[in-house]
Amino acid sequence: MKKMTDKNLHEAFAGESQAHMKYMNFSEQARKDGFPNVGKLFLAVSFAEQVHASNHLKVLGELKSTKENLEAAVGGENFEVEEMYPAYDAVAKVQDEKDAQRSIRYAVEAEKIHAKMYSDAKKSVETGKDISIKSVHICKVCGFTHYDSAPDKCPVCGAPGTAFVEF
Amino acid sequence: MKKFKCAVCGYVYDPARGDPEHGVKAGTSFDDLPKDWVCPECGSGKEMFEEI
Repeated sequence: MKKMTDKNLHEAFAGESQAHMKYMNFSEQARKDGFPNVGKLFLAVSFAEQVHASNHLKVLGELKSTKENLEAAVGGENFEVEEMYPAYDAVAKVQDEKDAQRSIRYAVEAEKIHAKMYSDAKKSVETGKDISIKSVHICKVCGFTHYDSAPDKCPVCGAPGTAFVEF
Repeated sequence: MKKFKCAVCGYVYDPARGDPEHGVKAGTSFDDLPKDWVCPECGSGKEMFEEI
């Protein structure tokens, strides 16, 4: 693909992904504020933005085989754990931004787990096998990720086991 | 009256507002919240809250 369009589509993909995420959050807030139909609108449009982002991703050629996608996923998580978040955490400390330090800490701890899960999954797929898991449990407060069961208390943020969502 | 912040998720309990969705009237101080009151956002207990 031509360099400029490649760069532009990457930026468009980032923008659509952010819109998708913002609208999902806005949807939840609208419901809390007592506007369920506005909430429905936000949720529906968040899905539309997901469609847009997916289209850009495919045109960019970044949706590949599962083995390759897992490799990209491992790379992405490792980048965040080893480079991005340590740097962001250092700046947040210098700027005494405590809430940002907390959201960064929550992200880093989960990304470490994701990197390992993706890496193990890649090894399995390379032998032609799916991973043998029953379910995945995510702490809705901090994103801590655990296979097959939820702990009584989240080891990263301390939220009770009731804060976990099962997939 | 002082506000209290949940160390787990960042939710701020504001006594001026109370927690009406869970039966706590406006003007209720943090100390006067029931012992078994939990953070409406994440479910953590009162012990996870810090005065701010």
